[in-house]
Amino acid sequence: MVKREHLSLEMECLTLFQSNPYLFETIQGLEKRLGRKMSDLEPILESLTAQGILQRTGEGAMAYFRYKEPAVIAEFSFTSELEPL
Amino acid sequence: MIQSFDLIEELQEMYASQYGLTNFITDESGDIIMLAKGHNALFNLLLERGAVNEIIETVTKEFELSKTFFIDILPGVYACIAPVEGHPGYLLWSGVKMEPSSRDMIKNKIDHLIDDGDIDSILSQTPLFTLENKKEWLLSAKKAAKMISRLIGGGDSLFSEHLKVLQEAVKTEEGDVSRFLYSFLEKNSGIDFLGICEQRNDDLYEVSHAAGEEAKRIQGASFSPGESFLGRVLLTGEQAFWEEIEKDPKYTFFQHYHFYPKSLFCFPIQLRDGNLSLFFGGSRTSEVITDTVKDLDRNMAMLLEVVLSAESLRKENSGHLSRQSALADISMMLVSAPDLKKISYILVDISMSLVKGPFSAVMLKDSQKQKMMLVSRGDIKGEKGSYLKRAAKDYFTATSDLPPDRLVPSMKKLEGSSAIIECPLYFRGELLGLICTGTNSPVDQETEELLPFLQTLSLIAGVTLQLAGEGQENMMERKIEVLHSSIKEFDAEAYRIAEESVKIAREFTAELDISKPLIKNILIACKLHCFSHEYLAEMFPEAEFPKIVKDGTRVLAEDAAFKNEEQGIGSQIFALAVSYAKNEGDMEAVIARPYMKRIRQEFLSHLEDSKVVEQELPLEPESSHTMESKSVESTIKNHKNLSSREKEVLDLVIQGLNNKEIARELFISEHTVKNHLTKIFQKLDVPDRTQAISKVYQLTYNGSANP
Amino acid sequence: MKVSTGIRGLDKVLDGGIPQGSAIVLEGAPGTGKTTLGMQFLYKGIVDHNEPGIFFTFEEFPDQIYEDMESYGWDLKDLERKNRLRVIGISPDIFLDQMTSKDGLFEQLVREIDCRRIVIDSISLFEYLPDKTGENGRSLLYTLRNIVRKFGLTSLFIQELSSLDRRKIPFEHFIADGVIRLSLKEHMNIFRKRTLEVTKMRGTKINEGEHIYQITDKGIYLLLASQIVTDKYISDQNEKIKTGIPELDNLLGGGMAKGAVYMLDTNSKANYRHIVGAIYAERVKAGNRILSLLSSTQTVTELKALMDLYGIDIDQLAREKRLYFIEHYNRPFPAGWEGSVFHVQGMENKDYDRFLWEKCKGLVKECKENHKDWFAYYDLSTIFNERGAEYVLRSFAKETAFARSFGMTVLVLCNFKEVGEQAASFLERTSNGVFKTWVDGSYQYLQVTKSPDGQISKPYLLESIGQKPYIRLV
Ligand SMILES: Nc1ncnc2c1ncn2[C@@H]1O[C@H](COP(=O)(O)OP(=O)(O)OP(=O)(O)O)[C@@H](O)[C@H]1O
Ligand SMILES: [Mg+2]
Repeated sequence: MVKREHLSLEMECLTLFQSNPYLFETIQGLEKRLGRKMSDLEPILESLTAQGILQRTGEGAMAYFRYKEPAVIAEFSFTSELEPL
Repeated sequence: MIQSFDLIEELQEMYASQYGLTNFITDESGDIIMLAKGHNALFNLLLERGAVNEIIETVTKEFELSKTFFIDILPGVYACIAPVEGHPGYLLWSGVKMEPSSRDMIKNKIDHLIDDGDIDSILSQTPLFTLENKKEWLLSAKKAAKMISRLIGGGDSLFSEHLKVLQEAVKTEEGDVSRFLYSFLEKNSGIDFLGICEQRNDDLYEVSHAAGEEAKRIQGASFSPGESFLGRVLLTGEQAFWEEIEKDPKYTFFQHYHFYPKSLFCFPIQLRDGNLSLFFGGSRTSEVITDTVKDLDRNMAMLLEVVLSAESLRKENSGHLSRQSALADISMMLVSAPDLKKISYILVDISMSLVKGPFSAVMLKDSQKQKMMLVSRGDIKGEKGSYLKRAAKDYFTATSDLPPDRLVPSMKKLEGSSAIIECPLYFRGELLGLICTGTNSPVDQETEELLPFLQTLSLIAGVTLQLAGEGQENMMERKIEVLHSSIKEFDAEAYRIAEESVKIAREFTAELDISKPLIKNILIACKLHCFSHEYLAEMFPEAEFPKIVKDGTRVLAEDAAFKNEEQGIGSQIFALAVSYAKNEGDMEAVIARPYMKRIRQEFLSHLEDSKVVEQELPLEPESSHTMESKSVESTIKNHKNLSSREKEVLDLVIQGLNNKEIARELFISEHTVKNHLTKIFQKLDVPDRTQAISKVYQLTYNGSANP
Repeated sequence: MKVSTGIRGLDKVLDGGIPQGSAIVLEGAPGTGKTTLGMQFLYKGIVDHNEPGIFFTFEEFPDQIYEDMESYGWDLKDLERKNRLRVIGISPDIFLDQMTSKDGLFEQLVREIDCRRIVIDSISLFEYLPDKTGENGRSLLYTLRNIVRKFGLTSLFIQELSSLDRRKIPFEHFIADGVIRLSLKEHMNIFRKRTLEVTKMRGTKINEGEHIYQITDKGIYLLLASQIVTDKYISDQNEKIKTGIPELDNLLGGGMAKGAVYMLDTNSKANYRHIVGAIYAERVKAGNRILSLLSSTQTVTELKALMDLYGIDIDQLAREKRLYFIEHYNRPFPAGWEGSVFHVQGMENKDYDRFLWEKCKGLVKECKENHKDWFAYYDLSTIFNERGAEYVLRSFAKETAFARSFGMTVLVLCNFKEVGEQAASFLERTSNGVFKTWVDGSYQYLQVTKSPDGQISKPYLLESIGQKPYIRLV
């Protein structure tokens, strides 16, 4: 379930998008920016998208990724309904 | 740089309206960074027409300002310029006043500036510059500049310094503890040596790291528990501060190594394997330890603890190399973003992507609000939602401290569903947050392997959260302090009431069974009682105390529409304290409302009691240091079985002397000392020196001096 | 409608700012400060004018930009949190793709923060897009311009410029509404000089020429070059009088302001003789009445020789009572000058004051009624020596005010270094204008560091020439 060898690169991608919430990039663009092979990046972006951390827009070569903010409940209590804001 | 525009503006307004002056702030390049406030028509006119620009430029560029002074903007028209301490180049300008005798000349000068000219009315509104009020102006400008200086950045430097140290700590691969000691030393002027003691194989302790001039001489020095200052902390397990230590008999330990500190502190640090290490330090020049330095020491100890634990964790997990660099990256990100929301985003994303399960949630406690924030990814509705609520309740409402095994990440097996990882975020035993991450399978080895990684993560996240919280709190406290002291400047009576009500509220709440945060909020409310609650709510949108002021003020105002159940105990106490202070301590006049009979009664009887206490205990209590040594002394003195020589020896043991030193002190041989000790151990029924010391402490504090 | 650029000097160069909704090319070599200027435009737009903005960066990561811009004290993340700014990291190809698609990312972003200004850093990359070279690349830029216009955005397109000597005018300059160029030049092998030039700006008057700018820790600061951007309020009521040195007149927007007090700050090495000579001669020619205070070093003979150079016979003028002298040293004067020399040697300060007040004021007033203008010249070090520093500090402001009220233009010679920092700053503040001249290496420089209408100049080289006025500013 966790591909260990990918962990480091996965964290790198995560860090990148976390610190640049307004980064809109294609796989090719990320290849250039991170200096990592596209073939290595693909599964990672795939998985981050699947987990809802990234959001993919568009199709094919023009598909780009961006960071998706998690759901926040600012005032959570033990009894409140868990409907995110 | 400037962190509280709103407050500075407020101050400017107050200063302006108090004296009828307009004021603004310029920076080192002469730019106006806080716009002009105030209704001084003449100054506003001059400013508007650009007549002051040149002067600003000249003053900024050419004058090296360290004093407050007056400048004539036109002949006979004066502004006052006060440097903002601690911020080179920042100036507070206020003005203008005019010399009565120059009126006609001024009129001529400014004639052309005015189109629809009512010069006379402008001039008649302008305050006069006289010999008598000159000094007062100077002083008030200085004070205003001082308050502003506190509001302009820099105030939380301690916090940011610590953050830097932590960032360094996280960055190092191979943790070199000495480097941290030196970087602490560099940044903190009140301390000139630092060190760490670690346990050796033979149960003795050794100074394993020492940083600072001369302090190196004690590197490698060893001592037994109970011996000298440092050994003592091993026994008590409590942090200790010692001042003027040269007079203390325990001092010989240092003298022996030709090291002469004047004050000393020492903190026990619990390692992950359960062993204690010591962190110590102090000054070779200062005999006293100020409160600021004490806070600093505490913070250093706390950071060091994290550094040491992270290092030992790293060693334990050295197998997972691929994760190490990832961990370093993540840690870097955490410590560079001390903002609760950002931290929680990082945590939720990382746990999610590590585990790759269906959901992850981070719950953080907000120390100021007693509420929680929940940040999540994935589906947390239904079943999982109720689990999260249960888990949160479980962890956060635990009445006693959580047992250590609850403070590490664990797997939770839920019936009929896959396992969930629970990873508490804590700092120094206090729970700050909780990560719950769902997995896709029942407990398996692969998931279990993630736990140590998560543990390191949670450790760093814990201290980061703590720092983030402190940062926020610092900022708020500074704002509160500034507002409070501004009352002093502008309304002496309101200030007196604030001071008095805080005092009485503090004493009274200490007797009540109410939560610490609530007490804090009541005290702040008292401090700022004279501000409108709307203003406070705007200024401190996150805080609770504005509501106390709001409700409390309604109580005081006898708002008929105000119902019983609407106000909390906080606002009632606030109302009691403020009305007591307003009426200058007249108990009869303390506010009475039908719905607060009971609390009023308690309040009055507290007042009665404290009067009595004052009469009974006119003396200052002795310092805890002397009280403590006295009672230990008396424990020994009153011990029936010991001979007087044995008592003397035991006394010196307790004071931290080793055998050689005791021999020297009593003019006997070391051999004799050992003999005495053997007998003492027998009589006290203990196997060794360490136990002997702790026995004496037990006897002292458990009160049963006679076995 | 003009949009402020966020740089005070640049707004002046543009006569108020950039016309709203225009698309401007900002070009410059690496490191000239394009990104800084672009961000300053957005940052100040948000903070000072409540105009939200978007910064598109193709090469840098947004977090690098947050960090770089922190050095100017700009907290960009905070503005992002408040939804006033976006720093968007994006590849040029998706950018273009999204920009042209209906309801694409570009449109969404603009709407989301009600964006008024954008910066694109940089359009140079467009040229390298596959199948976007040549003609296609151009039509692309054209499309880009039209789209930002459609949204009414005031935009800066940053353009890398590798070499300054392009032979053709680049295509970008034709379609853009304006062009701002930043350059970095070696200046006399001594220091590097950053200059900004606006070569085109539709819909506004521009102040041409290369203006010096600096990158400070507050962003870009532009010093206006020697052009005539006069502050209305002052220029309206001030007549300009010529200095006799054409370049200096240019620097001053036509000449010295009548009735103003100018300080010529000179160090001992600098040769100020011709500066003073030219001005003095010019004033004589203009028919001014002239009052001068002779210094210990400047004798009448010396002045006579100097004026001869400029074709002026002071002997005759003195006899015609067009020149007046104040003499502290009891030196002999040519016959026929009696009425125009005031001997003040040995006079107490108090008496000297009275003399100035009564005698000189009387003279000046009388001439004023006959519509004759006055010019005064003196060497302040003589007063420092003869009357003491305290006297100078006490009386200078008063004399300045006096001169101003009678429209008497004054040139004062002074060595700021010599009189000490405090006195110098007082004098500088009290004077309406300051010229500084100094020697550095084998060159002499002159700079206007202060003037009544707020203009200051860069340092100019002072070159000797063979004919009147014997000096020239280069
Ligand atoms: N606080 C500061 N004070 C002075 N100069 C600074 C300051 N901060 C940055 N600089 C200078 O500004 C220059 C960079 O500016 P900027 O990045 O805006 O230029 P640029 O034209 O966008 O460069 P590039 O072509 O690399 O994109 C650097 O040369 C740097 O040394
Ligand atoms: Mg750039």
